[in-house]
Order: sequence, then structure tokens, then C-alpha cells
Amino acid sequence: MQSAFNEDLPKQVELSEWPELSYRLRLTDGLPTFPPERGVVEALVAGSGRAGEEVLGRIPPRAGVATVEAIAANAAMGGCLPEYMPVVLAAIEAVLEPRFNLAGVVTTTHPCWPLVIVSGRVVRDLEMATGESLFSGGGARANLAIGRALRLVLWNLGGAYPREPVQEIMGHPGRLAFCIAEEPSRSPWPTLSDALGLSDAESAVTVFACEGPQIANLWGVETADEHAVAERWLELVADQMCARGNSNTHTMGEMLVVLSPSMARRLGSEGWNRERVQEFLWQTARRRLGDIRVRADGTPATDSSAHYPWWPEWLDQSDPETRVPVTESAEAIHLVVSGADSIPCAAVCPSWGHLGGFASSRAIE
Amino acid sequence: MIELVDPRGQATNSGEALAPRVARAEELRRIGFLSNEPEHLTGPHFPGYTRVLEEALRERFGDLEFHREIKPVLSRPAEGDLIARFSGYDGVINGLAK
Repeated sequence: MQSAFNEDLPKQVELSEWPELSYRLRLTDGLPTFPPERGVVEALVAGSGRAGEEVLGRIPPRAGVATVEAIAANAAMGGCLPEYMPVVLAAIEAVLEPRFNLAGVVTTTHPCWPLVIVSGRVVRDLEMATGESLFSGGGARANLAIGRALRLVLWNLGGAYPREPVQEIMGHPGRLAFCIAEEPSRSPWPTLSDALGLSDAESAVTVFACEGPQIANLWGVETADEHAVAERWLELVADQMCARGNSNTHTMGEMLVVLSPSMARRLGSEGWNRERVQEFLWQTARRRLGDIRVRADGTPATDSSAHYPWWPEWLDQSDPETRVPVTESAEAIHLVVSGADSIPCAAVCPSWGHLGGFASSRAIE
Repeated sequence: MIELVDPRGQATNSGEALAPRVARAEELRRIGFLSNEPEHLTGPHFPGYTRVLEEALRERFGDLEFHREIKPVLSRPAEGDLIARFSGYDGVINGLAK
């Protein structure tokens, strides 16, 4: 499909003309949108508290100039309210951090996409969902509209069209809208943004490029020993984290684990804090090197020609018995508590490994 | 009627122009190879493929000058100084073997 980027958008149209116009000019990824009506866009700019002409940066791969007004136009299409704009802008500033490597995240063959994780007071203020159906918006306007705004910014300003130049092989349903919120009241631990250094911020956004959630069902654990249940659950989560075909198993980088409130509470009641959970998962979510890299005849590939140069030097790549972690450090396993407060459960989100999409947090102004 | 704001923003020009193309393939004199990966001892790799390409291009177009660069991180855009080393070349072939 050819891009319609060079075709001008009419200044004025009848409201009924918008749906077909948006598809013809390729202003949407396929989902219907609201029209970026001048009055709505101006209200969104006002809601941001910033000037419409302020430039946040250039959105790759097309390098479109992300003014607050242009972002607001996309936010309008996604159904944002003015009070969502500080969250949207903080998320965009976070993905534009050079370390995040947005150009790579957007265009890679790997199915990762920036997950927006909202923390703090704003979660309540915007009535964001943190319960059932967490990863599909939870029925809340804010979750989906904020995720949609980021998607449309990357589509319309970044030109992130499939094939030209996005090379993603399998796709990612989260590309349509990928936003969750941390449950502020049912976690035994400080928020993710606190852990990432924003403990002074009342509200914050973290972006992290990851695959869709892979559920760790906590079945098969004998719960008679009241004091060991949480550890047995974490072993199941760790097993899910280090599947042989998992991106992080080969490329390390960072990983996200979302724990349901009931699971996190149980961990807390058994004396686990965030750092201990991270350390346990890091030590346990490991595979034997000889099972990760094999030659065609099935023998371990451990000679220097097979070494992964991105793995840290302290990892002995010549020994097939080396236990390889999924991240370079325990701190690179990010924990979020959210989801329905019912059955203990966890979701594992592998990432793009060492290549980019690293967790990046911003305070919401 | 409703007034619209273009979600694509203002069309902008980065100020960088594409290098002029040679009119005919026979005019090619200088070719660059930009590999997204280093050479491996086993398995396919783009630096090895460029050697095959070099041979094929020499057979077809005669005496050509070649220049090779390898990106330090395959997933990131090439840095400006690396790109600058291809200045004056008639074409650059970029790739990754899979």
C-alpha cells in the first residue's frame, strides 16, 4: 500500500466525511477514529498546560516533528480527554529518550511495542482501570485512549506503517493500544516508577517495549505448607520467563513481570519485598547454556565463534553447564502489581533484549 | 462543517538531500557496504555476503572501489561519523544476514 502522506488534508469537511477520508489518507491503522477537530485539539493542548508549538522531538522512522498540537490531534483521534494529555506527553518524552531506541523498537522484526505503565495519583484521577482485563483496557476510556494516542502518534508522525518500513514478523495486538496502570492501593510494595528513581513524583509514566503478556498460571503448587507457597509460585513464574525460544533467553536486556494483587499480597505477607522477588527470579529464571545454543547435531555450541558478544563477560560461554539468566541483573526484572484482585496470577512480558526499549520513566507534570 | 488539524503535523524537510544517483550502472565507481553485524566464523553473515557481492560487481562493472563499515549496534541507526565515511560513494548496500 502506498503512503498517502503527500496528499493534503482538507481544512474543513463534513463530519460524515471523516471516516472514509481518514482511511483514504491513511491517517489510521485500521481502527475507526474521532476527527481531529480544531476545537477538540485546542482543548487538548490547553489540557497539556504547554504551548501548541512546543516541539518534543522527531518521531522515527519518518522523523515527523512532534509538536504538542500534532500530538493533540492524534490524541483527539484516539478519544483522549484534556486531562489525559500530561500522561500522553510524558509517555512520548519517555520513548524519545535516546537509550530507548524508538526507531529500532518501531521497525524491528521482533514483536515488541512500548507499553505505557501509569503510576501514582493520576491513576485514580483519570479513573484508570487496574482490575479485570488489565492488558485490554479494563473497560476504562483512559487506558485505551492513552495507548491509542501513542500508537497514532507513531503512525501519523512516525510513519510506522507495516512493511514500509516496519518489518515486524508476527505483529503485536498491543500495537493498537498498550497501556496499563499500577494498582495504587493493593500492592505491598512501592510503585515501579518509585523503584526506577521517581519516588518524589506524585504521578509518573514508565514506557517499556515488550511482547504481549504471557500468563504464568500458578497451578500444581501444593499449598499445605503455608510459608513456602509464594516461593513455589515464583518458581513457576521463573520457568515461564526462561523458555528456550524466549527473546530474553538469548538477548538478555530487561523483562517485565506483572503480579496480581492477591499474589503480591501473599508474597508480602511471607516477607518478600520487591528486591527479594527480583533477586529470586533472576537467580531462578535461568537455562543451561548447553540447552540454549546447540549445533545441528545437538551438541552445545560453546566455542568462541558461537559466543553472543552482548552477554556480559562474567558469564562463562565456554561451559555448557553455565546457568544463563534472562537479564544481566536482578534490577532489570521490572515488577508491577495490577490486574484483578482474585486468583493469584502473573504475566511475563519478554522484551527486545539488549537492543532497546529499556524501561524509561518520566514524572507527570 | 468541521475544521481539522492534520495529525501528520507540518511537512518538514530535514535539510539533508539524497546523494545524486549515477545515470547508468556502468558509471558506478565507488560502492560502500554497511553491515549491521560483525563477521561470524560459522553461519551466514553480511560481511561474507559483501565479498560475494564485490566479486559479482567487479565481474560486471570492472575496477571499482569498495569501502566497508560495520555498525557497532545492529539495532541502532548508524552514527553520523560512520555515515560520513561513505561520502562521495555512488551507492551503499546495507544489510544483515539471517
